[in-house]
Amino acid sequence: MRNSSDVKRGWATSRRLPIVLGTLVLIAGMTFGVLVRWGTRWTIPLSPASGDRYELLAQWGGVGLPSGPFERPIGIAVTPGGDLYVTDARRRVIHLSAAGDIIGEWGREGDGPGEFSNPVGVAVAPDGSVFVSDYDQDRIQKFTSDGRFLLAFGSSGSQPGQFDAPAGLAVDAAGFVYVADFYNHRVQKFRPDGTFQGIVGHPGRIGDGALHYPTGVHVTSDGQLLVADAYNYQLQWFDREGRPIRRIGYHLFWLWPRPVSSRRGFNVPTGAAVGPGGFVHVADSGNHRLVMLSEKGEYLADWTIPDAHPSVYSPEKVAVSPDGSTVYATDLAANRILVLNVIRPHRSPGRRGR
Amino acid sequence: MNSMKKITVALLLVVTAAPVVLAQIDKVTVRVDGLSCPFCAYGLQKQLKRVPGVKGVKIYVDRGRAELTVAEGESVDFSAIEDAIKKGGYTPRDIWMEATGRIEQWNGQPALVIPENDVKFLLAENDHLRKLNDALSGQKDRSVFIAGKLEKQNPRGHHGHPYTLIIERFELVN
Repeated sequence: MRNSSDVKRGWATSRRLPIVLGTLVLIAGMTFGVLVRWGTRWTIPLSPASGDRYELLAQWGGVGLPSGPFERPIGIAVTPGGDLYVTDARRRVIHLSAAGDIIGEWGREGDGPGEFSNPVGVAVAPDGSVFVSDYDQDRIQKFTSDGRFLLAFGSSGSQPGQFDAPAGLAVDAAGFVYVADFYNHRVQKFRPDGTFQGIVGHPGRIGDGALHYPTGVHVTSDGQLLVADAYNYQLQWFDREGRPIRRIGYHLFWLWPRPVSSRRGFNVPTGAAVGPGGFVHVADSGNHRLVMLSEKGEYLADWTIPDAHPSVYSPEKVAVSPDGSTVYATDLAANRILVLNVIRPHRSPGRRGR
Repeated sequence: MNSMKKITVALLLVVTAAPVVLAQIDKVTVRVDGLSCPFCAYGLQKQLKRVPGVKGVKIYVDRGRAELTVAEGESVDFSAIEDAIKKGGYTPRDIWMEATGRIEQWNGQPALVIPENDVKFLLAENDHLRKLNDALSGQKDRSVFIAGKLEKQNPRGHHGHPYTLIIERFELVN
């Protein structure tokens, strides 16, 4: 039988219970709020060189091109001489001078030699030949510098040598071709004659070497492979043997890649290029901006497209002039090429900084 | 003049056992969420191009729409379209279509029937349907162009047919 003391204790307990529960919930929430901010982030130098920035120099709409102005330009590559090649939705490759003047163009709709369904990637080999990836046809075509067809390789599938939406391309100093194989979540390496050489990376979200919808590749001057691992929201470097070296991006709890904005990381980085001196330029498409990183991956600067289309990720790809002073980016959403100066007041972009 | 053919209406009884086959239609438009990344959008386009009967695909990244045109004389498997969208990593949301056919009564309900195929779409009650019925008064064999939104219904509630067409506009054709 309950007495008055029991009643008093019960009443006190029932009164404290919601307070205790509420406090626990509050503590848990605060803890979680702190923990979710833990993870990797870009290193921001304590004393970043002042004045590092991009300056918009020009926007090229492709007016005057034989087949019409740019229509959703996406792939871009720079030659050692400073020329550019661009691919767009008119199913063509456009060859431009460093000043944006038309040198030539080739391509039409179809699945024969020199024909395209969706050319999205382009790269220039040391001998001047041009490789173009076709996202829909799952093949790579090789051309001379003026567009004469040389060879094609690839077919649809997931076996070595096959593709499922080949995206970005890169060619190293020896002429080996690297292909970002989007839906197969890997990068494939081919010999200059198009025969299969190897695979870099593996499908996954966590850990070194894991790729998730990679869209871009670039080979650095010292032979490292830089991959724009778009939906792991990071860049990854691999050595000449295909072993992962490092990654840059934001990782929740240092593990789970997450899209972010501001100066913490990326949101769908679809392209990256390294200029002389090792400075990295990133097409951070989901954030509608270009990002400049040091060779070590330290944040240096970023530039946001001022009139970016809010619903379309852009820019897609980025390329750097041979001297590193100019960056070109394909702004698919606005049907234009953005041309930006790389301003580093205290250092020359073409030489390593002291 | 050719005599009128008797239209054979075959009811698709079990949605899961048999694919829903769209008859001759002109266009299907699907709204897809998250269509912001061009690489993903191109991937979706690639998947949809592979659906038998699809003549062309346009992806409007800025509007989040995929627009499919159907080859003349061909039919399209609607479940294949949905599967292709899912394979591309997206979820199909709203679906619209444009088709030309005739209006017939089926189990007391109006339905759009396309003569060359044995598929129909039940028509939802709305002002456009009422206006269409008025316009067709005395012209029951007249062809009609209809543009509208498809809604997936409980197959059991519609005798196995999963889609109801909500007319948004129509036009009598010769």
